[in-house]
Amino acid sequence: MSNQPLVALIVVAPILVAVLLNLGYGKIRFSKYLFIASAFALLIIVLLSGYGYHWFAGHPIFQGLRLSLEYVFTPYHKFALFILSLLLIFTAFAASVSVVGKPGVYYAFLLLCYASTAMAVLTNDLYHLWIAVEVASLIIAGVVIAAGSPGAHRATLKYMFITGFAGAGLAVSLAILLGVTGVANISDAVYALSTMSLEGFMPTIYMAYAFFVIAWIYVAGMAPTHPIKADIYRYSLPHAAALLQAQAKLMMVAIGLIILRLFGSMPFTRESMLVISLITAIFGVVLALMQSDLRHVLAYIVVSHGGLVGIGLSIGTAYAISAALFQAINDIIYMGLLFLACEAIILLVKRDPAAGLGNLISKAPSLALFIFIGSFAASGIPPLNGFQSELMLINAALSVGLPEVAVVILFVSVTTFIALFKSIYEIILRPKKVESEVLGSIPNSLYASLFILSVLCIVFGLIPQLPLSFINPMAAEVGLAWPH
Amino acid sequence: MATLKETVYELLRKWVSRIHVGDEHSAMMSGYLVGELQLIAFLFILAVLFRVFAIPLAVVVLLAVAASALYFAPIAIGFERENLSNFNLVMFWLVLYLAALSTIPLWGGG
Repeated sequence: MSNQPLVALIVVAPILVAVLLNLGYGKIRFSKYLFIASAFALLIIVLLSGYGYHWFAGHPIFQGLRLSLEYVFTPYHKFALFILSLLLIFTAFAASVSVVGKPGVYYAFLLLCYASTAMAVLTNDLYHLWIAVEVASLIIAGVVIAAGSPGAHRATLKYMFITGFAGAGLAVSLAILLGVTGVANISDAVYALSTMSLEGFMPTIYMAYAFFVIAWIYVAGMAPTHPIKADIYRYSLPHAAALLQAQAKLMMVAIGLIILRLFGSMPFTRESMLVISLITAIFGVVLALMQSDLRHVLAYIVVSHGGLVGIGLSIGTAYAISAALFQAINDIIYMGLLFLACEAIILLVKRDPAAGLGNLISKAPSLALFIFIGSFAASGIPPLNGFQSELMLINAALSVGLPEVAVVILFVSVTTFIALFKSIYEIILRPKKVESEVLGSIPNSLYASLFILSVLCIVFGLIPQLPLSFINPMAAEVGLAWPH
Repeated sequence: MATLKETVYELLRKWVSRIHVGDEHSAMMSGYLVGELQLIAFLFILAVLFRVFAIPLAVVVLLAVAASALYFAPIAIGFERENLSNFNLVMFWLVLYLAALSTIPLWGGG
């Protein structure tokens, strides 16, 4: 594999455009067109980038060690970043309609959200990973505060406090690994841990593992941080929530894979991650049942489905990792669809999509159809994409002799359906004596976004081999045998 | 004479009615009922999962969960209270998770 210069642009280009947007923040048309054009450009860069490594300092390998900051670009990375780029384009169109005033800085934050996610996904370096997590936290704060409500400010402040714990913990973990192995490159650290004598180091390494998992919990919004992460989704603007949930999924997969590579073969590490994932999956979906606003329901379902991804990663076999990665991609697609549908509802009736709205199907039947597709996909109903990945997760659990885990996945699937349709009935189907007034309109660009995401839900459900052909090589490389 | 099914249902409905004031047939009410059942079932499943470590341990945990479920029911409202986005509450649980994550694997494999 050779040095791939375009791979670095996936991170560097959005940062440069963010600087330009900051400089020209008062020029509304300039900001809008630059943001949308850069989102398309990022998609093209991802598609044109060749597989391989990118070495920033230009020193690939020196005396058997990798000295420089290193990015890895495989078919999985191309596929994951393609989906993220697609979502950035849809977010750019939605933000250009919804956000009023001088939105340059806000657009810059959305681009930096993309950059920090790409950084975490691509990096094979411990320091770079830590920087990605810290930058992502600050960007999330900026994106959520832009919503402007008191709830958004409160959620951001709490999230930033948790960052102080989780981010610093990750730094401690990296320092321990550097102290034990003497290397900062993840591949080198994996090699060192598997070949050197760890006699006397185990308590220290388990502490590094614990801090690493806390960072994983934090970026994914897993239990016990799930109430604060759910606040982040429900108080941000819906198009921003669509991008933030994609960021959380891709970063949790990136960190989860690194944990598997570094600590996955140590006793009881994957079992403890599995318990946390199970708790998150159930707690999230039960809390979703107790909400009435569709955005709040979606916020908790995002958290819950993060638990499903965590289940696959924790089982850690090649098949389970494939299932987890497929579930993460599917989650990004159908939750993106549902959050953008919330944006459409708000634009249409100028109200939150909550109980009391009613009978929306008569005013916007095609929007209702997109919401049904997204909800069916999220509930794991065939032949949509959520069904395929949840079936794979169930098979992965059964194949390692964990039928209890398969039952929990089924619980989550069924309860997602109940939680979503409890809310959707109130908003879309319930007949009303006094009809809600249509005060706005849904732009064609938003309809096109919903259409494309719906098509992806159907295509990935009917032809799962298509996404799996990108995912399976990565899963085969990281996969381990289940220890029991 | 009520059937067993009706009796259990009525019992559960009364538990939830006690903590949720309003229309008994509302969407919110159905949400709490499903949540209550989900949580109880999940706790039992989690207890059974302890068989991975040791079967006698799973039996003890299962019995403890059964006793706790009876004592603390209805658990949905308590669960909701424990899952507020209160900063101190989240930090408390986060520190407990960190302690468990660093000690349990060490105990088992170190």
